[in-house]
Amino acid sequence: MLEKALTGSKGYFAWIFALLVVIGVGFGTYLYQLNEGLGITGLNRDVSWGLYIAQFTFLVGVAASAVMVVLPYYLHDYKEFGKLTLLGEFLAIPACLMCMLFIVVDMGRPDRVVYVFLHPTPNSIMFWDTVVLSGYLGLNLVIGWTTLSAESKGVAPPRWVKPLIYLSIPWAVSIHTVTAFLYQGLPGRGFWMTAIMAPRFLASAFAAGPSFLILMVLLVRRFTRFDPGDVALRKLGQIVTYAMFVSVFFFLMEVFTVFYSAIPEHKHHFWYLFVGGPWWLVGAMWLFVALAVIGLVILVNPRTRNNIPTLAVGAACVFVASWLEKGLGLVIGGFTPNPFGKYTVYTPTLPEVTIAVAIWCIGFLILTVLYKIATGVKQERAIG
Amino acid sequence: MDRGKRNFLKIAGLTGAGAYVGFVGAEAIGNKPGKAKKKLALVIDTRKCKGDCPDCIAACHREHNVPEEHNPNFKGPPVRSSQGIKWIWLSTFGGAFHEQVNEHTGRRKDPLVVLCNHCDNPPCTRVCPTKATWKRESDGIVTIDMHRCIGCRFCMAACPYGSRSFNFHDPRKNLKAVRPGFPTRTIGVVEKCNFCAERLGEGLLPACVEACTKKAMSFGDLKDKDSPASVALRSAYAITRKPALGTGPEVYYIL
Amino acid sequence: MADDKDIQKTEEEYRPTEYDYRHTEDARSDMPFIVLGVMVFVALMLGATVANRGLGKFRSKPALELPRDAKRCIRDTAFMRSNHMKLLNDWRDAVVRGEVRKEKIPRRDATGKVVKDAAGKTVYQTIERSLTKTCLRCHDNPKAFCDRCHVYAGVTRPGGSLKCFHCHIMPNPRPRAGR
Ligand code: SF4
Repeated sequence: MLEKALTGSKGYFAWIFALLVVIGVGFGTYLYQLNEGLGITGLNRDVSWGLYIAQFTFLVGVAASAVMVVLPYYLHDYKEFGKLTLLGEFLAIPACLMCMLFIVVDMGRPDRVVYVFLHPTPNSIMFWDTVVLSGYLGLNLVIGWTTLSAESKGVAPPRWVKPLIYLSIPWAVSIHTVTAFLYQGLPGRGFWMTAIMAPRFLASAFAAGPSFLILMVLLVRRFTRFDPGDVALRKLGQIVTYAMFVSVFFFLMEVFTVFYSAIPEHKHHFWYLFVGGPWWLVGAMWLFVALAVIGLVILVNPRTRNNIPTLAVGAACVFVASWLEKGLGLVIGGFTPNPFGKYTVYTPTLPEVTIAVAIWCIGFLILTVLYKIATGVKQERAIG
Repeated sequence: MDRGKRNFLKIAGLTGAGAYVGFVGAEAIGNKPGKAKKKLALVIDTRKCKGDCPDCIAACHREHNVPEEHNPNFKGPPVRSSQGIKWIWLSTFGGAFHEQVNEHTGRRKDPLVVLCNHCDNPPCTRVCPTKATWKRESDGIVTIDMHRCIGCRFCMAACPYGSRSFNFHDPRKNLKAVRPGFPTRTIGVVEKCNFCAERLGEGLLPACVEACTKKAMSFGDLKDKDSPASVALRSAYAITRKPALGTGPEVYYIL
Repeated sequence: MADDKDIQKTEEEYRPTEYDYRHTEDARSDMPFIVLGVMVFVALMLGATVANRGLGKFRSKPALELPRDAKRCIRDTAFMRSNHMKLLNDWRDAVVRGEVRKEKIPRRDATGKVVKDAAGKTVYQTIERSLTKTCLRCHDNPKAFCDRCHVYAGVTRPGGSLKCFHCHIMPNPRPRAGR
């Protein structure tokens, strides 16, 4: 089936080439980082994790969100998602790979990465995160590939994938729960010390992931003759609406707890993000609020939700809002102020942003190729 | 692929996975930390130490080849002081005890020496994914295996005292003079105070304690009633940083 | 179009395609890629060889600088040649993780033979497990010993230095008579 990715229009190859160029630049920058050390990033003693780990956290959510199409289709036999499940599973694969890449570029000694497996340490959440993430990647590769190759041959998928599909549902929940545990189990980090961190992560993931899927489906529909259908899109819109509501609700619960109890150790992080931080961070946080509100207004109204162009706008708002909150604010806010109550400003540097963008491009490259194959096979079946 | 090959791969894969699970289990059981035999502690008498001389810091950083941040010979991207390395350094009362002071606290702006607390229940070692840092059973020192550290910096996020530093740059580039007796570190690993484990092995006191001309630091085993640290703690009122977190710091401050 | 195809077909009748693979459509379109692939492969292999030591300059045994006065190593040469890294790793783990700094080894004479006492029992000596304090005390010029051999064996790139010495500090080589 791979050969489907090797033929395509001029536009397809131009897109692939553009991605490869950015990836090349990013790779060069990464070699520079390998040589000079993480000193070329904005990271420091106080904000010791930044853009990289934040992207990792956000993308774990995107990967986990595949469950939002798998679950209705397989557990509730919701037929309309039939064409969508594969796109969901194939979205999880690049998301997982990007997570791993972000971890690797964040490591001070990537040459020693095998130590995580040679000296497994079950009391470290990081170890479990590696295990569940690679497991999830494996599951989605096997499930996606098997169902697709069965489809291309025009036969039913083998029976043994069914249990794997069922397993992938709790597994998806586990990857984001474990990722939340990375943060919420740390003493003395008030911003993260909250029991609803994992539920919050899941809610925002189930909003961000499906909204990204909506946008991707619209793109696929534009460039190929493969169409999962408006009904499925509208259903996705509903899922995003509920998840975003829960996500915002959880966030407000956080705000209430922190500000009503008025414990400074917890309050100061919010203050930094929304008032006291550098202009770009404060701006990003208020943009998050604005986009969340706009997105919800669009999605709650059935008329704008069911109208595909406005649904796309709403989905984009939700996706960007979730990224700002999780892919930016969560990590920076948690580290500022530092354990001495001091505020160290973290500003991502150009090389750091370049590397991060390049990893996103790797993700898009894999996603493009996978979707090319999937839609190619599906079209073939539809025609022949 | 034919059926035989497929089955072979499946069985091989499952066997490998099973063996690995067994390995993880064995690692988990075999690495239960025991009780530390000694309880090494440092007691800092803030009545004597006013934080106005650099002796302990200079001695420690010389002893352990801790790079200076603004070496004129440094080639490469400029080092921001926020990316520097600290083993023992000066904070303030208001910084180290910021949850306990307010604007009326008299000495809140006074300098205060801070370092790794070699906690009884250290969160930093709990999170390490490669067992690169652990609490030593023999004396309770929280140590780092620089050969093992992968530089993920989870321990820096877990330490509630900001005691750990990361080698953002090649440390050799920032060292004016290298003391041959102690290795430097490499780019990309985490480091911190080691309570001078190498000196204790030779029967010496930690470098900072030895260097202190004000005799403000007492070091010793708290399980030994007659050690200088035990005596100092009995004699006066001492506090530790963030006791509510349950980490059990072993650096005490006499007020 | 249809006419062209017909003409080709008639031509093919005269050319048995099963022998002349260049005229099958697939092979013709793949040819440039295959050639390119082979060229890339050859270039990479040649490049690696040239970068490693230069064509034609295959050196014979590296000239290693042996310790000046010490005659005996803590293990015999054959063992050290193949296992020095394992020994160093074991030492590292024993000292850093196991906190066992000392090790008892059989004493050896100048010829490398294990020394026995009058009763025929092996005589032991205690050494410190330390790269800098034990190994480098005799091998005081790692650049001319470790590096040289590693470069020869292709473990380290020419001009590079061993990872050990990114942290462990190289001694100042003592003056040597025959240098
Ligand atoms: S002070 Fe920080 S680094 Fe030191 S033992 Fe405690 S938690 Fe670990």
